[in-house]
Amino acid sequence: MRSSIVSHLVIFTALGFLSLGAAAPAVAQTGRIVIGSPAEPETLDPHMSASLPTWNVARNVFDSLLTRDLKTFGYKPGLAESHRVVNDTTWQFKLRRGVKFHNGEDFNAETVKFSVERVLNPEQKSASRGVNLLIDRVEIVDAYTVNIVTKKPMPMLRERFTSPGYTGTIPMVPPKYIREKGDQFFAANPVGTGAFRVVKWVKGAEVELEANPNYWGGAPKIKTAVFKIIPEPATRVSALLTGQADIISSVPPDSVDAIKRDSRVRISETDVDGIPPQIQFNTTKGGPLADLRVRQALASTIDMDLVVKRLLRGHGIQRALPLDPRAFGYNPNLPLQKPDMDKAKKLLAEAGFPNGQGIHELVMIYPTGGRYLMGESVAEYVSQQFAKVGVKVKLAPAEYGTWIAQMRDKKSFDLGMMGWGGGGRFEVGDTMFFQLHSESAYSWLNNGDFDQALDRARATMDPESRKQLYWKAQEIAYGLSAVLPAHQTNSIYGVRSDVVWEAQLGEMVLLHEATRKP
Amino acid sequence: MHVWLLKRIAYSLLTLAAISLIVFSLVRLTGDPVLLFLPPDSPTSEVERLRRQLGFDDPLAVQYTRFLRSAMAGDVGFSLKHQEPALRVVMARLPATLELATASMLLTLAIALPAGIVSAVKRNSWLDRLVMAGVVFGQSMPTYWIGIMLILVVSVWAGLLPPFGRGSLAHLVMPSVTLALFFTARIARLTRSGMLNVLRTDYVRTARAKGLGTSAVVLKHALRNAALPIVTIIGIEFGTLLGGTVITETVFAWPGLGRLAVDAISARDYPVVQTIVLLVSAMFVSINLVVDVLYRWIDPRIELG
Repeated sequence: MRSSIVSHLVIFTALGFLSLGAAAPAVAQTGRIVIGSPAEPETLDPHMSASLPTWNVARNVFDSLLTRDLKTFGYKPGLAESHRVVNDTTWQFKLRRGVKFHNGEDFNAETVKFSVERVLNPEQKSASRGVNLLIDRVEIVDAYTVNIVTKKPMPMLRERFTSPGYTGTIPMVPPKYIREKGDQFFAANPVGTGAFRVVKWVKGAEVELEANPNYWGGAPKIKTAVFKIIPEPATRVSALLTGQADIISSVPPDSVDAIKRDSRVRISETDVDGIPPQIQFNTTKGGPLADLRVRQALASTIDMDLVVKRLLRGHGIQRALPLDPRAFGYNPNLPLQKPDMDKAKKLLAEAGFPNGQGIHELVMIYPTGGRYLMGESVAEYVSQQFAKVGVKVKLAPAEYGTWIAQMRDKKSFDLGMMGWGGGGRFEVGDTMFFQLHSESAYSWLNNGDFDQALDRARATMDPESRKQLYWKAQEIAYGLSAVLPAHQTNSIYGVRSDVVWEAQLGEMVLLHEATRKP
Repeated sequence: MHVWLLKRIAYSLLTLAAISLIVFSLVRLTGDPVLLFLPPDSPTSEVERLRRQLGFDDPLAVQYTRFLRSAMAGDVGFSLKHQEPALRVVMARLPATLELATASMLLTLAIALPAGIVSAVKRNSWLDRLVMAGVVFGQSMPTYWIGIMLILVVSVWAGLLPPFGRGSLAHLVMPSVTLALFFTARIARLTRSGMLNVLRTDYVRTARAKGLGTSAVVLKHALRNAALPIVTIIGIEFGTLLGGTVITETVFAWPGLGRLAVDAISARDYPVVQTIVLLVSAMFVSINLVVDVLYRWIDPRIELG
């Protein structure tokens, strides 16, 4: 009896909702794909932002001179049909003819000059200026030929002109439109040469893109793509399950099983490119961590394979160094580090710290809020492992903005977790500089041999010699045990079963090839 | 009355000025937006250059004076993050917040006032206990949990309402129910206790003795006299709702001010943070002003001034 009252109540309530439910949008129609993203684009002017949500949309709207083969990481023609190295400081690009911006404006040599100068102009306050300071100028040879001249040899120049790019890449923007309408208007109403054009942007809620039928790379297979902002992971998963979203990013590992069980949806994942979250030792402020044996001992307590299997539930992979194996210059010969407690204890004793005696409590900083997949758990695991050899760790998690300022403080902390996932640097030079070079604001290493090897690599134009130099620099870094055994995390997507799309490098959501099964 | 109103408005402006100073200094204590704006491998020289260019290396007093001067001219600053004037960033999100706050408040009142009145009239009956237990239960459950549960049951299992977003009336249902569940308890309990006090008074007995019906006594005589504290608390709760409700907005992907504020704080987007705080404070102060005026209307014996 009781149960029937309850069920009546449920039905009654349900009916009440039903009348309102009629207004709910139906399942997405063919030709339209909805992407559920955790965060909103801040602006859609790609020169003015280094944030992933901005670039995730902008990559579908803007192009640069080259494009990247997402399988091999190699360069393919883009807005430039060919390019060549004229001399150590001059690159020549032959541009594609007949390309038009979404507003009909022509793409030509003037566009390239304008786009590069816009990024480099200090008054523009472009986010990408600082990483492009080696570029000196753009010379227009003819309407469809440009020379890009650098102040010094810049072997990684092509990285800055390859789409889909990320921070530091220089996408092509329309000179006439921006001059006439102004920067602010452009940021809200962007016009590119890309596969999609922006048709609607409801702030805080969604950005709607429409296929560019005249795209130089071929028209997209779908007509409409909508990026909807859904910050809460559980809601994103619900949106996927109810068909309100076709692709959702950043699926929490504990929701993966629920998605796998449901035949209407599936999981697609790939390892994040760039620098996997690493834990670095502060070797620059003296004390026990300046001793190589102490660092090696502590590194030997970590079983990164176990971390990946248990904490990350298999959504990652162990690496010798925090680098992406697909990036140009990655040294595949460095062995993965194995845990060895006996070795750890022996090395500590040798260094004069038997059972950790004499080592002060180490302070570890890392960001909160799930910035790195299971990052908080990894930090806790590390502190427990160190405790097994008598070394205490004080966990000091901080909010992102605070933590990033702390990472630049080379004097106050002992261990720091940092990554640069989806950084869009597809050659190891930038990432290695960022994490280990003494001149980088975020590096806690100061080693002359390493700096020299990396500096030479970053200035060597010949690819084969450059690769050898990168390898050498990685061997030095590996020998220095400047970072704990590394792991690379996956970016996990949930996808409706009838949508043809797979997880892409660099946390990209490129929709040019995406389609829906008939 | 006019003198009183002018005085109140002057106090309100002073309050806002004080708030602006506090927010201005607090938000700057936490670092500046430049590090979060530039890619991590930008050279330190570039970080310093941009800081100088944006005036973040000036003394706080200089920055504050600059802010006040342009604010007087109607310019509350430019958001580096959004590449847009801060006021425009904030205003784009205001309608969503107003909509959700109004809907939640109406729903809250629609539940809380009848619940409080019925409980008072039928005090200590099973109905009274059931209603009061119900509203307290609603408040006790974490908003986050209720939101997720509603989405699971109503959207995922039953397929009745869209799980997130804004647009139609259907989108508004679950977020406002979630908020109303939380805000109902206080108003319902206050209504109940206020009514209980009034129902005991002599003039209510007199009204009854005159032969007036229960509803007339309760609604016309008792409720009006019990209304003062209720109106106050409604004002405060509505102000809170206008300030944005971060958790509900996050769970239902509602594009309101609360989420914008949290994002702006994370990015150290000073102009947006300041604009939101000032706008919300202004609305809060205005509501209080309205409440004070309402006092006099409800109870003409109250002297203003």
